[in-house]
Amino acid sequence: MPGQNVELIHISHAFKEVTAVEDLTLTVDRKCFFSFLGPSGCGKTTLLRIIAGFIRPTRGKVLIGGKDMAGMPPNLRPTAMIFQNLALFPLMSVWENVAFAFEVRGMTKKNRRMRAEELLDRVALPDVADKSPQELSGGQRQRVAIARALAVEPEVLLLDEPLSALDLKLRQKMITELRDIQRQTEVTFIYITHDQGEALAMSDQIAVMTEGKVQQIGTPEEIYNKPRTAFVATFVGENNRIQGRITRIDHDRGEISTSLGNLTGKLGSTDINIGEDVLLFVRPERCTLNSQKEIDNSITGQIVQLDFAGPTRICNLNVKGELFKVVYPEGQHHFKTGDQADLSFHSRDALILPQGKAVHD
Amino acid sequence: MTQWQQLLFQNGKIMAVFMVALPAFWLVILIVAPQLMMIDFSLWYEDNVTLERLERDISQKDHHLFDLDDKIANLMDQGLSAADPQLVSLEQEYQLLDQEIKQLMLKTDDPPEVYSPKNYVYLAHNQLHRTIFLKTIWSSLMVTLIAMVICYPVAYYLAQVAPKRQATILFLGLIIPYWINEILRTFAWLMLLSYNGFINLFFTRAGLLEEPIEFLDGNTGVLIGMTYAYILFMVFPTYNLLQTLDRNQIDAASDLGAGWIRIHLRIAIPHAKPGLAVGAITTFMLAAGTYAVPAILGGPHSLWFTQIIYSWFFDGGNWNQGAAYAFVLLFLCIIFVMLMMKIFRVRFNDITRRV
Amino acid sequence: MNYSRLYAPLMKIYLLVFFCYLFLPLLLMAIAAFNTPTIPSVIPWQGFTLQWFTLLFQDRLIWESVLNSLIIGIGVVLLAVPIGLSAALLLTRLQSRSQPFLYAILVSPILTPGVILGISTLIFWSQAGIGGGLFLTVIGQTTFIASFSMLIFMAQLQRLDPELEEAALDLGASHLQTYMKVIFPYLKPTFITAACISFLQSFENYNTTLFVIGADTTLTVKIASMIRLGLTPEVNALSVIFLGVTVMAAVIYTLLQKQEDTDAV
Repeated sequence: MPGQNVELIHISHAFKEVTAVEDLTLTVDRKCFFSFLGPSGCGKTTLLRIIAGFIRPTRGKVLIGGKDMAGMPPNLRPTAMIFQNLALFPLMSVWENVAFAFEVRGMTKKNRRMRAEELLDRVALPDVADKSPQELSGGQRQRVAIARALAVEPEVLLLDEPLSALDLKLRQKMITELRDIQRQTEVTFIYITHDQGEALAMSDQIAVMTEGKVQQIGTPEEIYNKPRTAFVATFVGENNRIQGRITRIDHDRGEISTSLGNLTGKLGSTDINIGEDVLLFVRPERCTLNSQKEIDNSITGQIVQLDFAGPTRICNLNVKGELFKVVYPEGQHHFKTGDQADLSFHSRDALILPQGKAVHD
Repeated sequence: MTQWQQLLFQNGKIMAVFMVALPAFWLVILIVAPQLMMIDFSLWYEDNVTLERLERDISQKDHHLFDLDDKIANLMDQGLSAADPQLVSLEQEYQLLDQEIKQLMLKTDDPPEVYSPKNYVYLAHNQLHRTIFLKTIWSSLMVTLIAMVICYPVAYYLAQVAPKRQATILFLGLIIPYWINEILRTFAWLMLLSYNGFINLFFTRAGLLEEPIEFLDGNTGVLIGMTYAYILFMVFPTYNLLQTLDRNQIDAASDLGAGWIRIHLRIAIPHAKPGLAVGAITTFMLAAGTYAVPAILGGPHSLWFTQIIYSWFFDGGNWNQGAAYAFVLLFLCIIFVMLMMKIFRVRFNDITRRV
Repeated sequence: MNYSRLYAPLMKIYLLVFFCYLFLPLLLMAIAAFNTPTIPSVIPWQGFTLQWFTLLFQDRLIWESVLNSLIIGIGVVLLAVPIGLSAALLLTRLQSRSQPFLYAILVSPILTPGVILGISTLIFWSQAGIGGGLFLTVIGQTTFIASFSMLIFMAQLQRLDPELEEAALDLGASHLQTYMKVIFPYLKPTFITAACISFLQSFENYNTTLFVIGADTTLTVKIASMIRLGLTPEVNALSVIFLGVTVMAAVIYTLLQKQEDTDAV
C-alpha cells in the first residue's frame, strides 16, 4: 500500500560546534527509490546514520511506518544498511555473512543455510556460498552486501554511496541492477550519493542537500529541468551562469540587464521583483552556435577551446570576459580556436533564479 | 550526552560496564593509589625521639609504682587497717599512676607519625648516598649514549641495507639474546669478568696479561653488564622507525648530491627520532632502575641507588626513608622522559606507540 | 654508489663484532654447563659431564620456584589480558578531551622503573595487612603488564573497520552479540599474542618481583639468589635449557612472521 514510510520531522544534528543537519523535515513514500544528493560534507551521511539509529539527533524525530524511532537502537529498527565499503565480515564465509541476521535470531544452522542460499539466488549469486568475501569480485561483493541486508526483511534499505569504489563500467551495471532489485523487492531505498549521474538514473525522488539543508525535492526531471535554487542549478548538470539585474517581468518571463546586454528567461521563483540582482542559467546543450533561426537571446563571442568528447564536442566561448560552454553534436560545425561565433538560446530554456550560494563559489 | 551515556549507547550495558569497571580498578587500585601511598610514606617518619622519651617516662613511673607498692605493703605489715586515711590516699595515688602508665603504653603501640621533608633532607645530607645517586644518573646516561651509538648502525643496516634473507637471519640473532632472561645475560658477563673468569684466565695464559684485572671491584663491570643487558632495547625501536623510512628519500638525497654522512644527519636520524627517544627512555629507565646487574656484577665499592632503596626496605626496616628514595628515582625518570621529549621534539603519543 | 665500495666491508666487520659481542658470552655460559668443576668455568676444561643437569632436575627448590612462576604467570595473564582489552576498548571509543590524559596514565607503568612499582605495591597492600607473596606479585606485575597488553589490543582495534560493528548491529545483533560474533573473533590472534607476551614478561620479571615476592621465590628470583649465594654450574645447565627454548621460540616466531609476510603479498 502506498503512503508515507519514513518521516523526518525537524531533524537537527550538531557535532560539537559544527552543524551537520539543520532543521530538516521531509517524508519518503513507501516503495520509493529516494536519493539524497549533495557534495561531501553536506550532512547526507549524518542523516542516513540518524535514520539507521547510529546517531541520536540533537533535535527532531524519525518516524518509520508511523512509529517514533526515538531511543530505538539500530538492531531493533526496520532498516538495513549497505555501507560504503560494504563491511562484509572477513572471517565469515559468504553464506555466513548473509545468514548473520538469522544467526543472531537463533535460527538453526540448517535453516540458516537454506535461507541464505535463497537470498543469494535472488541477487543472482549462486555457487559462491562457501567462498570467503575476499575471494569475490567487486560486483559480487556488492550483491552479497545487498543479500545480507535483505535478510532482515527491512522496510527501508539505506545505501551509503556503495558504488563509489567501483570502476565506471561496473558502476553503470550496478545502477541498473540496484534499480531492478528495488522494483522486485518493493523495499523503500534511501540512497545517498555525491554523484548526480547515479541519482538521476536510479531515483524516483531526489533531495538535493547542501550545508545541512535540503535545497529541493523532486523527480530527476524536475531537479534537472526546473532547479529552484542557484545551488541546484549548478550542482546538478552543467550550467552557464550570468549575473544581472531584473528590469522587466511579464507573467513567467523576465528580462535582465547584464554586462552582455539584455537577456530574457523564465522566472524560476515567484519571489523575484524588479530591481533585484539575479542569476540567469542556461544549459550548454540548450545553446546553439550560428543559428539560422530567429532566437530571442543572441550574443557574439570568441571560441577559446574545443574539446572532443566522442559523440559531442564541447566548445568554450569567451563573451566579453565571461566564459560560456556550448555542447553540439560532433560534425555539426567545423570551428577552429580563435573563430568568432554567435551564441543563442531560447528564453524558455533559460532560468532566472535569485542569487544564492552556487557550486564553485 | 554524557560520556557514560555515549558508551552505553555504543556498546550496550554489559560491555560499557566492562570497559569502565576494569580500567577503573587498574587505574585506581594498581596505579594511582599505590603511587600516592608511596609519596605519602615518603613524607612522614616515626618520631623515635618522642617515643624514647615516652618509654623513659614510663619506666620512671614504673619505678614510682613499685615504690608505692612497697610503701603500701610496709604499712599493711605494720598493721594499719585498710580504712586508714594514709593508706587510702596511697591506694588512690597508686590507682591513678597505674592508669597513667596504661595510657602511655597505648601511645607507644602507635608511634607518632610526623609529617616533614626529613626523609628527603636526609638524602641531601648523606654524602655517600648523594654520590651514589649522582653516579647512578651519570652511569645510566653513559649506558644510554653508548647503546645509542652502538645500535644505530646495526638498526640502519637491518632496516635499509640488508637483503631480505640476511635481514631475517640477523633479526633472529637479535631476538634470541633479547628474549633471554636479564639475570642470565648478566650472569654470562660475571663468568667473563670475574677475577678467575674467562677473560682474565684467557689472557694470562696467553701471556698477554701478567696480573688478572679486577673488573668487578669498581663500576666497570656494572657498566659493561648494563650496556649488554639493555642494548637491545635500543635496537628494536630504532629499527622499527628506520624501517618506515622510504628508500626513495635516501636515493633522492643521494641524487641531489648529499654525501653519506649528510644523508644520515638530515634524513635517516631525523626520521628515526621517535625510535631513538623510546630507546633512550627505555634504556635509561632500565639502567637507573636495575637491581639485578649491580647485585651480580657489582663489588662492595659499587653500590647502586636501587640497592640502597632495597636495604631501606629489607635490611634497615625504614620504609619511609625507602619510599623517599624511590620517589626521587621515579622523579628522575619523569624528568628524563620530559627531557627526551624536548630534545627529540616528540609527543608522548609518539613515544608510547613505539614501546 | 660509494657506499658499497667504502662502507660495506667496514659494516660487515662491525656487524660481525656486534654479533660476537651478543653471542659469545651466552655461548660460554652454555658450554660451562658441561664442564666438571664446581665453579662454572670453561678454562681449564676438566672433562665433559651431564651431572649438573641431573642435579638441577633433582633440585626440589628449583621445581618449587618453577611452579610459583607458572602460578604467577597464569594469574597475571588472567588479570592483564582482560584489563588490557577493556582499557583498549575504552580508549579507542572514548571521545572525551580527557582521553589523552587517561592514556598517559595507563601507559605510565611501562615507563616507570620496576623497583618503584614493586615498592608502591608493597606499601599500599601492607596497609590492608597483605604482605609479600604470590598474590602481591601477581598484582605488582599486572600493574605494568596490563599496559603492554593494552597497547597490543589498541594497535589491533585501531585497524578494525568501525563499519563492521555497525553492520552487525544493523543486522539485528545486540551489542553483546556484536562483540561475541564480530569483534572478539577479529581479535582472536591478538588474545593469543597478549597472553603470550604477558606470560613471558611475568616469567622473566625480576625488579618488581623482588619487592613483592616476600618469603616465596620465583624461578628468576631463585636464579639470581643462586648466582649470588652458592653458585654452581646448575645455573649454567638452566641457562642451556633457557637458550634452547628461546632459540626454538625465536625460530618459530620468525617463520610465522615470514609466513604472514608472504600471505600479505
